[in-house]
Amino acid sequence: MTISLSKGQRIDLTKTNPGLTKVVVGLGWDTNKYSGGKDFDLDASAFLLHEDGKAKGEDDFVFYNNPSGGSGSVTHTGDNRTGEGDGDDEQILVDFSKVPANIQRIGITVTIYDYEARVQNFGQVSNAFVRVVDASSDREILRFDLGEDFSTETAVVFCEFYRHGADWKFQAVGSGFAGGLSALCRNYGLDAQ
Amino acid sequence: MSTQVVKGQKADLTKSNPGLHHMIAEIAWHAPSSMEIDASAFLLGSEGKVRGDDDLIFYNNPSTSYIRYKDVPGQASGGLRQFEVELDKIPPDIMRIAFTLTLYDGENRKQSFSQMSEAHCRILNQATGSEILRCNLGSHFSVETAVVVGELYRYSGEWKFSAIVAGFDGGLQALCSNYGIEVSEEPPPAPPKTEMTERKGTQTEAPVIPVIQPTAGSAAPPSGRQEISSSAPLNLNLKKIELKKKGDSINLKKSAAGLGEVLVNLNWNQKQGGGLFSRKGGVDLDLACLYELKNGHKGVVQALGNAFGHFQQPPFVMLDGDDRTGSVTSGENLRINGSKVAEIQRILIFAFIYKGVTHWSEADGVVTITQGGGPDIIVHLDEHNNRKGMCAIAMVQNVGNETFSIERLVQYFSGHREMDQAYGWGLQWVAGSK
Repeated sequence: MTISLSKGQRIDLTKTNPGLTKVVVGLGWDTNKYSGGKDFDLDASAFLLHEDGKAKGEDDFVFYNNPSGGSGSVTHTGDNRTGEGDGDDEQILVDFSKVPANIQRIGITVTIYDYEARVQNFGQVSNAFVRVVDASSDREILRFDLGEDFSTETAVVFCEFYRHGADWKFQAVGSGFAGGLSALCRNYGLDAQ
Repeated sequence: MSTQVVKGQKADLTKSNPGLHHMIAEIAWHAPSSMEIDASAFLLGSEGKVRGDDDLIFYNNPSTSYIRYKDVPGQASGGLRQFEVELDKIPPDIMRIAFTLTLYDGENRKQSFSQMSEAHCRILNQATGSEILRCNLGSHFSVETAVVVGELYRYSGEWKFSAIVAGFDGGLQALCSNYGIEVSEEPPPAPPKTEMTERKGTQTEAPVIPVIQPTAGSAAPPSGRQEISSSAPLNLNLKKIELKKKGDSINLKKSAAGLGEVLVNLNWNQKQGGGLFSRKGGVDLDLACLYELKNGHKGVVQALGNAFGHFQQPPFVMLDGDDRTGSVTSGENLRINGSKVAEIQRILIFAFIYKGVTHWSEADGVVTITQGGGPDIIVHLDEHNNRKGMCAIAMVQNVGNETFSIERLVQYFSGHREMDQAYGWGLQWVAGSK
């Protein structure tokens, strides 16, 4: 049975699910309810963070232009440019057994592409969620519905995975930022071009 | 201090303004006069859907206990509508109120909200008049014929405002289906409450009155709501009824509360500027009426000779201010006291060109007859006789001391006397000036 989390909540992953090593992080959202206006293109990314909370290089940042990082432990299954349909709009695969030992935390984010020109923000996005699925059994372990109160944010940290001793835990974050993906990169110690 | 919000932005209302109990949501726009723009508010339950026909507040259903629709006249080349909302009185099952604009007949007229300019929405504190937030609707629209301007919504025990600023290209119908109302263009199987009679058996297409029903999505409503959603097809008069041909006639709908006020509005286009040969100064149309009371008393209500009439006393017809230029978009208004229907025999509504060349074709006049709870009844002065300065527009007649029938005339005369004789009024006419 899936567990629904609320904002800020933390939960064990590998401890309560022994044998769990590979997960699918499914991210979803609804946008084009109204006609007219520009299409939305939302992008999921993963930031692999060291002890100091920073990403150190290209292998620590998985996004549409760099679909694999963390020595291949974190992969992006591909850019979805419409967000149409039910279910996950984009997916990121994480293999906990292969995450480099110096990575303490993995931030999963969603940002709006070209938000300035298209005059878009997360206030216009609804039904955003993240769910974690056991890749070996397709069983959904947990789900976090982000709620409906985003406003002018253009980047949202959906959740974070983090080490706790030998285990990995999950935190439902749901925090929004202005400035899109480049602001998140700066926040996580990367210089985006 | 007022907050400027952008599309998609959400803002606190009551949390940052603890004294806010009575607010005004105001929508204003500039648009070509050929665009007929209506404002409506959808009262929404937890599923984001309306519960019944009373949950749509618009010109034909202008108020409920906590929200009131107001058409604020006097806007040059545009419109201003206000919804007064008493936050403390909103029932707990109303979670959200959406303020919308729709374009009447936009698809057929090839119009969309991209032609609207300088539109904005404001939230005001009714008690102080101060502006709490403002949202410029900007140039966000392209193909839309119905837009959600913004939504007032409950969040953690407070009221917030979400600037939606997005819409649909399917007009009112798409908007209604978004909020759980199905608008059927088919005539209902049972005759609607509004009775249409076509006296001269003309070939006019019968006006279609949409039937509105909750969509199938509400298939298993909670027990308490069952009655509301399964009751007879909801009969919302979203359409306006146009009397198109001479002799077309309609009876006003009489509600339990009586007829109430019957508002007759005359509006016309002011085509100014233009080319070398354009006529400056334009046309001044005057709205007026002849009346005949049950007690035999007869007379005229018109600006000429300052015969403005009286609403509460005979003749129970009153003329509002005189628009000499046509630049006041609200035009001229004549109010008939429907509660006195039993004392009124008949009223002949007419218009005349007081000053300017008698170019009815340029004036492009339109008369809208509005009555609480009923559809707008529209008469376009689209048959023209530019040699005669007076136009008999509609005859209002007492039907069984209970309601009025309204019959389209659109017949042109050279003056009061000729028209008086044509309808057998029998008044004495002398020249006058205002």
